[in-house]
Amino acid sequence: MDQHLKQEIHTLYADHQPWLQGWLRKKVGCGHLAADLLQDTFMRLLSRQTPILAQEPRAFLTAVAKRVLSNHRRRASLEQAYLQALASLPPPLAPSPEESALLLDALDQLDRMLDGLPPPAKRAFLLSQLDGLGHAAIAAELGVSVTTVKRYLAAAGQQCYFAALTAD
Amino acid sequence: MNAFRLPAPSDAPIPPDVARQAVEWQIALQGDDTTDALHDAWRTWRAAHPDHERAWQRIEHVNLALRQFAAPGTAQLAHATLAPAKPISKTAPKPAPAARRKAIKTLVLLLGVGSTGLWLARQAPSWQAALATHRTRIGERRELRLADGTVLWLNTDTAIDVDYTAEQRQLRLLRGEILIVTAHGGDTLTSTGAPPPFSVLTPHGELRPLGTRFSVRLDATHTRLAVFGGAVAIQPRQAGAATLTVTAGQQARFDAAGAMPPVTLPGHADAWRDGMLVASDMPLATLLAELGRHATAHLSCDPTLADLRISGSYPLDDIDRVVTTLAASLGLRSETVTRFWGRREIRLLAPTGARKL
Repeated sequence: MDQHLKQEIHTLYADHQPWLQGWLRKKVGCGHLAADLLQDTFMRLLSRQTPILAQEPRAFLTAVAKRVLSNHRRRASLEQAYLQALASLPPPLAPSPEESALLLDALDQLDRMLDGLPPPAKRAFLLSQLDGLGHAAIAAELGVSVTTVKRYLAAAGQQCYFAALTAD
Repeated sequence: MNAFRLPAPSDAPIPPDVARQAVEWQIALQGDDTTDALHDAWRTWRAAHPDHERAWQRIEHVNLALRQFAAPGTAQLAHATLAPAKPISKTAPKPAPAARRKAIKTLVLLLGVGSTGLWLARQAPSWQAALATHRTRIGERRELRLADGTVLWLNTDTAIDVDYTAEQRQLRLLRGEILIVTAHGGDTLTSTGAPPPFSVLTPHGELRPLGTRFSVRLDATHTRLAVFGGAVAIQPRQAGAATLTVTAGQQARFDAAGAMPPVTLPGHADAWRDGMLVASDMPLATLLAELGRHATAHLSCDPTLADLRISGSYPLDDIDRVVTTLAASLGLRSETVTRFWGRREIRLLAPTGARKL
């Protein structure tokens, strides 16, 4: 890793770590979680390829921490939805704890691939790719026209196949 | 096992218009009526430029990764986690989750049609019931008994939603075909003392039976109703479309705009319930299309043979064998091709040398 970048991150950490942790604690209301998110924020900086060269270090750190925070919230609500769904699965169908952790990570990734699409477009895409439903069946399931289903699939396909995953 | 891993984003960028075309091809190829000409045009497009092929490979690659979510249970978890269903259907609003779960408790599943029964019991379709959605795979048939005593048979490749509440008993046919023997009421009665009204919805309209035995089949452009006992009223979806009542021994097709006049029902139209298809003077092309509903392979015949009239009874459990037997008894050749797309195609052809039958 670039020595210059390493030095930059080291300086940012030394100068602003207590301040950033305080900022995060106010956001999430929990010291332990704030410490974890602080860790994630600097981990994210360490994966950079380019120098930071921040003119306003605190504004820069807040911007990165906000992304970490919003990803944390998205993941938390995903986990909650997952656990609820898992609870209603009959035991023979429920994945093992190891499988469950892998599945949740993969769902997290898929969620990011579909992020920002309108919910019916996501649903149309999942019905098409996971359930193998045809256009007419998806239209019936969603209560929309086949033309609309095709529009949903075009938007979802465009994003899912060709938009790069956003790094977190 | 390389469990649940999705591909990393491709590093070499693909031009946006190529990406858009690739997605359009994928949607066209998934369509309900694809032709050989479409497949040919798609292959031409792929070969036309290396970027086209790369874009297509990208789609295939992601789809392959997505297939790992398609197992029973996993797909349901994916749906519930990523895109929880909302009551967005205009024709049949679903009750709130709590009401829905309550309605589901009143459902009893009767499993075990033939040898698939054990498999089904192990694969726990009770989870499908938990979404009040019942599905059969291609080649599968299933019997269900609902809380009010109504009995349903699901034909191959069928999906239905069951919505039973205090106010209504509603089935929504999402794809495929069902045979229904209605019962009156069960334990639930509305405030007037009558059982909640029973109806079947398709994208093309609503069916209200008057104590009866009937089947409903959803095709791409229309719904087919066949009445074996009693009578059923059709209300096409569009406002102002006339209602049509179909009585025992008749069948009728309808779309959202209106219903065709009823015609006489051929004998044994419900033989699929017993795993049979009965053809009487049926064109070969029609017979293959009907058999094809129960097979993962695509069945077709040479156009010169399409009108050949066939009569006979065919078991639905081993379509490959039926086609082989059919070809042998008619003196035809059968040719199996595995398409680029991965789907098997079985074609019946005139014997070599005989140009015409």
